Amino acid sequence: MTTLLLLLVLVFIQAFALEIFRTFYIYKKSSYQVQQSEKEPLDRRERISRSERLFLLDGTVHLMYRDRQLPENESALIYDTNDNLIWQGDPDELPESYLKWPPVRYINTYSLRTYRAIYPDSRRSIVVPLLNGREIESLWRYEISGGYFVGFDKDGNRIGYCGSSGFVQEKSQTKPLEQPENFIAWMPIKGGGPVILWASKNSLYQINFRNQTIELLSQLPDKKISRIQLNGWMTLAPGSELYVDNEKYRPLIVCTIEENSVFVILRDPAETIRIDLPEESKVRLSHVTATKEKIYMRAFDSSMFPPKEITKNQKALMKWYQEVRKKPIENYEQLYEVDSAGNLTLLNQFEWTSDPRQTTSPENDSMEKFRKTLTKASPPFYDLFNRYIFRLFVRSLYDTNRDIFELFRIFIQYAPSYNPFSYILSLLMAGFVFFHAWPRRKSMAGLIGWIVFAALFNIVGLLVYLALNYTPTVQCHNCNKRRGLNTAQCPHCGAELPVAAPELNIITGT
Amino acid sequence: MSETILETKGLTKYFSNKAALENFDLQIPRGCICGFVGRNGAGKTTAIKLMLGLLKPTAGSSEMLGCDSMSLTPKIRQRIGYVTEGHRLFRRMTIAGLESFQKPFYDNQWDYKFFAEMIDYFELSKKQKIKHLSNGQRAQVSLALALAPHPELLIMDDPTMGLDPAIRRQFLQGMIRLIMQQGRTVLFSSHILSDVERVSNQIVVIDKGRLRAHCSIERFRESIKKVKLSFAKTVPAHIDIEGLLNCRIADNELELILVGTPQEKITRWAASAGAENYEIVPMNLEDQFIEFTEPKKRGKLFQWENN
Amino acid sequence: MRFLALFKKELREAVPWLILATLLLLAISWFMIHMKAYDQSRWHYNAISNGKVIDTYMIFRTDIMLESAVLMFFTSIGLGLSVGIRHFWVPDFTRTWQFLIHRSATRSLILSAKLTAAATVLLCLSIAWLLLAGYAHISERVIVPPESGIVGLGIFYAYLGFIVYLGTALCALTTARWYTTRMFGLFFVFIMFMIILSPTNFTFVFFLTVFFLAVLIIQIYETFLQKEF
Repeated sequence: MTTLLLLLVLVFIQAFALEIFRTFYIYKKSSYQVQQSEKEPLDRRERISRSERLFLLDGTVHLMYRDRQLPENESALIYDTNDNLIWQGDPDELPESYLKWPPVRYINTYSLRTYRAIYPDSRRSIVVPLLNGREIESLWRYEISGGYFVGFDKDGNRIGYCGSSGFVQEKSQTKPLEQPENFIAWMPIKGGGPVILWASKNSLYQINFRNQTIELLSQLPDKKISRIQLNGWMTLAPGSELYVDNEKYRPLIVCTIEENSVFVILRDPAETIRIDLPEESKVRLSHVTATKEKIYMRAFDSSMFPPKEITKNQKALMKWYQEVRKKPIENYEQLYEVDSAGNLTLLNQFEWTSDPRQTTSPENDSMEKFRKTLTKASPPFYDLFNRYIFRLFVRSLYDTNRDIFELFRIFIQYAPSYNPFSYILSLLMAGFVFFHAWPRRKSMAGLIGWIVFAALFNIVGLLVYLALNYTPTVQCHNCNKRRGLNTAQCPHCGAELPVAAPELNIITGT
Repeated sequence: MSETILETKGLTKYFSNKAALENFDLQIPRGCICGFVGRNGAGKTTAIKLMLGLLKPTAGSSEMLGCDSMSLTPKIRQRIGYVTEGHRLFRRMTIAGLESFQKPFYDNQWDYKFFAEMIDYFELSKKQKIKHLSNGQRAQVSLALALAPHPELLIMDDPTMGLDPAIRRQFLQGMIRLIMQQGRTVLFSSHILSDVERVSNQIVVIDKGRLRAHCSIERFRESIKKVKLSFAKTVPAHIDIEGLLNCRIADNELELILVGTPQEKITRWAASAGAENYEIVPMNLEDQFIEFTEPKKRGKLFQWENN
Repeated sequence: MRFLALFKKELREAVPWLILATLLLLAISWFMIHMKAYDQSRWHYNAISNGKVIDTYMIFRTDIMLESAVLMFFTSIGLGLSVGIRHFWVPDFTRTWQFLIHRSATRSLILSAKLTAAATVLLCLSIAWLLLAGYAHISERVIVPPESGIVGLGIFYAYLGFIVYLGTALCALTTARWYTTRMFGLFFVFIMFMIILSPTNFTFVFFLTVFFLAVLIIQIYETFLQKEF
């Protein structure tokens, strides 16, 4: 326990030093770098990289660039692929009917896990209100332990339960509703809500609390729904966020189930389509939209994305990134038409090249130098501890508690530098421990153990040793060498502790 | 009566690198009333705690009632009464509360009537809380708690510390009465030699962690003598009498403190040294103890101290 | 009988702190529950209007006993700390260890009595918490009663209070120097809190606390049995 705690103390001290250096040296030194576009005319490659690709119904691609230097109503510049400026104006009033794609909108996993938080202040429950004007009609709370909603009226009386089997009066009649991985709630424009789209690991439900109905939209027993996108599925008021004109677009939900597979649920008419990209396909990001006539899919890929075979090997991945960042980036975007069977027909492909990413900055270089200096005294064993235990813990915080992750982020940036000075220091520690422990030894095994411990744990090892092994020494009356008081016999000559001085007068007898 | 109830062999205790007790050998027979005396920091409390297993010895061993002190079983502890130094008791308890706390540890040994009588004798009320008692009253309660189960061996660590003379006398009288009635073995440490003399039949002197004396009071008293010699001319430069502890010179007079020196040797030496006459000056136990334990090269504490 | 005598004595010493903690918890929590019940009945009308997506934060709501649970968290820690100090630090100051240790009971029995008394005290606190939860269930002002998870968490906090007690005990019993490892018992407990309050997997957290508890109990027993008084 002592060792673990001292290691952590060392981590804290070194990481805070790093952060202090960053705060008071780096930020002070760096100045605001004026953006390229403010100084010189934007070059073509840069403009194309920053443009949004807009697709027409026939697959033609236009590029919309937003120039922030211009007034808002003139900021949108639309070019064709031959670099001709074909339109300029307000980005909210585009001239053509470009295809509208659903946003990737979902609750992040951090929020979803708050209902399991251990610390109460972080803990939340899902509670859906039914309002009658401004008054509460009922509240429906999701019970994580049972996997169902429980309804309460305004007087606190239970009014029913909602599980995967629907709305019932008795708890015994409910079937569990799996925990949500994703959901979104809305009030339909004609009222009759709230409505929740509830995406669990394998299933997708639509729950209407006003009408007390639950509809299973999709169930994929052997597939995990990793992401959902909605386009026009919710009947929202014009002008509100996520509004889609249902006169032009069919309501749809896109569920991403694997890297190269999506599952699309459509209405008007109702149908479901599974789209699988070929295994060897390199495209990564997919969006699907559906007009009244056709279904479209767009896909994007870039040379910035690593090959699948090296993504699991951290070292290979880092090396690959270092290499690829030195080169210009090749990108392409494709537009497909999708038929009812999920087959894809390529309508258009647009390719462009971006400038290489800057791999390092002067600030990063300074930080790296400081970090290497700071970590020279890092104990060798600590390097292993940090890599295999501490870092795993801190990374796990990213998914579960962002606030505390931010606190620990500075430690994850701290990494020992594995240099000879650290090992020399370890040897010195081991030497000190040897000379300190030699007169105090109880057994050779114990002595060797402590020497190895100090060598592995460096300064921490020495502190732990001193804290746990402080034994005073006295001079042995027999051999005159220093000996510890933790044993009755002298470790050098075996003599017992000193006897009474003979010259004292002692009175005995009755 | 000759059975050894308490025995230590080479008992040694170091605190840091300083010896609090060194090579302490002691045998206390059953039925003995033994006074433990020594200067401040001599090692009395350390010795008692080692015997009771409250401290771990650096070397040596200790046995009480035939059991090693480091592994005293509950049954053995039941037979040993202990009055702690300073009479530290649970302050928030009443005397009655303390009694009900102590009783279960003594099976059927606890003598309710005896305890009540002792509390009566000391003019205390069972409803009184410990924190409201004076030092002396606490000492009395401690004694009552220690004696009520009729232990075979009673160990008291400076039981009269902080008590005024009146309370001390009352405490000792009570103690004497009870000890005489019960015939217990008692070991108690004290700074007050008159108390030791009054109560004990054996004395153990500890000085700087070492055993200096373990004998009867009479033998101790006989062994240490103060001899005053007068010389016509000068006092001899070299004094080599056997058992010399200390000597003081004032004009033509020589004062010797001797331990264990037979009478005839004193006479012979006086004659050989050319003393005109000599006399053995009576000393009380306290003076004898002070002389016996005084360091040879001690500096003056006060200006008016003689060499 | 011996154990009972020791247990009663230790419990008697801890009871004043329990009474203080319970009164604090019940009084303040009663008030907080009533305030929260008022909040429960209020929903921002505009956020639930037709034709709009409902903001996530309107759906994720805190429990009626949220503030009480936070209070329970800190009360348990405070109680564990106070009882630990009472049981292990105060005898150092009042020098009553010798009186306690020298009796016909083994050291492990004496220590077990202390730990059992502390566990009892924290159990009583968790009973007070359950009573509070019961009140929140039956109160007419509360629309949505507390969820079982948060009620369970309150009991878990009482258990954490016991671990704080053990950390305090270890600090008191260790003979290390102040500037070395004397306070590591409490620091160890602090590290445990840092780790367990972050993740959301309760099973993992529970087994982790069991591990910390085991380490502390073993160290305490070892230290107490070897300690010199």
